[in-house]
Amino acid sequence: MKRNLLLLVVALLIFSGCSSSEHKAGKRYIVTSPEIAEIIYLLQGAKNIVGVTIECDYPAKLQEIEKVGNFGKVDYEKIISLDPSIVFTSGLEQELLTSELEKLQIPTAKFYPNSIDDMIFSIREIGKLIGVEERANFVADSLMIEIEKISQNNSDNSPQVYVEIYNDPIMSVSDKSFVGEVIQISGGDNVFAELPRDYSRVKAEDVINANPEIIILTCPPEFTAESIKTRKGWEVISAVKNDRIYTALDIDPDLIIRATPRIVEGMKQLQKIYNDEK
Amino acid sequence: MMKNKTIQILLIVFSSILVYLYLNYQVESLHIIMQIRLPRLMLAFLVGFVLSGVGYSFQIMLNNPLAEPYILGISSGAAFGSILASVTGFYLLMPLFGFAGALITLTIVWFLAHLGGFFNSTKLLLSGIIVGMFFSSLISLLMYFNQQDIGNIINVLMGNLGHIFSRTEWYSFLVVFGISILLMFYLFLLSRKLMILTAGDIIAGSLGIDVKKLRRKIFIISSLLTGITVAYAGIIGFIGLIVPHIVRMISGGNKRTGIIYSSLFGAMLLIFCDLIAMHIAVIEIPVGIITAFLGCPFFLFIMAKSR
Repeated sequence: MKRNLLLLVVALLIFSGCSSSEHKAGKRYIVTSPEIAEIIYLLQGAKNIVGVTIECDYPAKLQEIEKVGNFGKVDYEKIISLDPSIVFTSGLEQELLTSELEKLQIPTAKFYPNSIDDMIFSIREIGKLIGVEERANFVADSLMIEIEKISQNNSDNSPQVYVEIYNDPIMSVSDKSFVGEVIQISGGDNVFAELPRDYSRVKAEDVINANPEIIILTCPPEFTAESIKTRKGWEVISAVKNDRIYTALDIDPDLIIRATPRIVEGMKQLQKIYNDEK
Repeated sequence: MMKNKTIQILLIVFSSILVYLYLNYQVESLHIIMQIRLPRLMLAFLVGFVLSGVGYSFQIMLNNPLAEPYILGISSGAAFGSILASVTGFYLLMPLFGFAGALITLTIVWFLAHLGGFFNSTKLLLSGIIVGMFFSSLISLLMYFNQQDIGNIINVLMGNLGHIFSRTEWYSFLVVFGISILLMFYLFLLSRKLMILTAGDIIAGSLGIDVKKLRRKIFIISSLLTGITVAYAGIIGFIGLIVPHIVRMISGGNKRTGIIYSSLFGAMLLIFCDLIAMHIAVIEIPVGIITAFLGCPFFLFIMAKSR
């Protein structure tokens, strides 16, 4: 009886060993961060990407790929069943996800670019990981050139800019944040250069005091320029007086908040906004 | 009597200093004082005034020292309304949705408390707590599915007096402010009858007070007032529970004027807490955290002294 039991255990062990070593060959990527999904798509198209999160919506082709959850919450069973060779994760809420996946012995690669340099570095690293190093280096190099060109294109007078990334409580960005860097490179002067955190809550009275010439809203499009103009006490702000409030309808927020090569387009649009005397 | 006068004068002096600091601390521009600080001061005053007064009357009306304005579920209903507005994109309608949530909760609690034909404070308390829990679960559900709006949800759940008014919203707030103060005065007028209620329902009844009717009146008025505060400022805990007790400890038991002192003291305490919440850290802290953090030691101090 005892021996039978032993045999059974051994057999079970062998079978379980078999199933875990039975890796489907080849590259199977799951991407949980919209930024990284964009970069991978740019480097090699949608092929090999077997799973994404709901937020990975650009380019549209990515939306057809199987969903493994959203940015804050993924379905671990789904991820395991897709048998990925690498899961690309991000920072913030995904710190936990990354360590959970490591516990499950699923290979992960975490990229959370929070500056332009970091983004360019990430592009090269991702290129290495997925075996398109040459193209990645090309993309990275041309990005650097493009961004350099943009910063040389700046007009001399840099307008005071207030970026509102969240409306209640109102939140803005510091110069150290990715968005802050983008604002600067394209020639704007961020009114909240220093904040306790990269993305931080600010006070309405400080915005009024800073008197920005341009207000950029990256909140959802329901939040209109009108809703800023009618805020009590905000009517004295230069941007409100001169009607220079730009919402998601004027500039796609993804172009300036996502650390992807599309940032070049975002910077160009920002420059237009700065020079646009309404 | 002499001692009473001194305390009153001291309180008035302290309140004046507090209001002055609240309006002028680290700001020079008159525009900001009038357009940002003054509205915030009025909101803080209203919320503290209402919560402490309602807390006082609830503790007597429900005959329960643990009663507070949020105990009958109104706050959860109102918070649910506000959060629902925010996650569905109707940011600007949050106060309206919040108040609607309070009204719906009030109605549900009202009907539940009348199930089985008669209405008493135990049933009211139980219905309120159950309905409150139900709405809390709905709030958790919304939170879980809308993590991108977490900043906003925290504002509602931990209290935020920094509501940014639009100009039209401001005029409607002024009207709401006026109505609330009037309702509070009505509550003060009811406090004579409320005092008799502390002797027990039977004695109050034998003195010619319609106990049920009085409870209903207080329940409805208080719920409307609580709903208004949550709609604008979210849930600010602690004030409504502790301030009535502090006032009772200082003045020695329930008094007819206790509710008025409770309201005024609550308003000042909340203004003080909000002053700290605004300036103590580099980022503004939700005021609900400060009220409990400062209020608890203060409460213990008073409790030790009053013995």
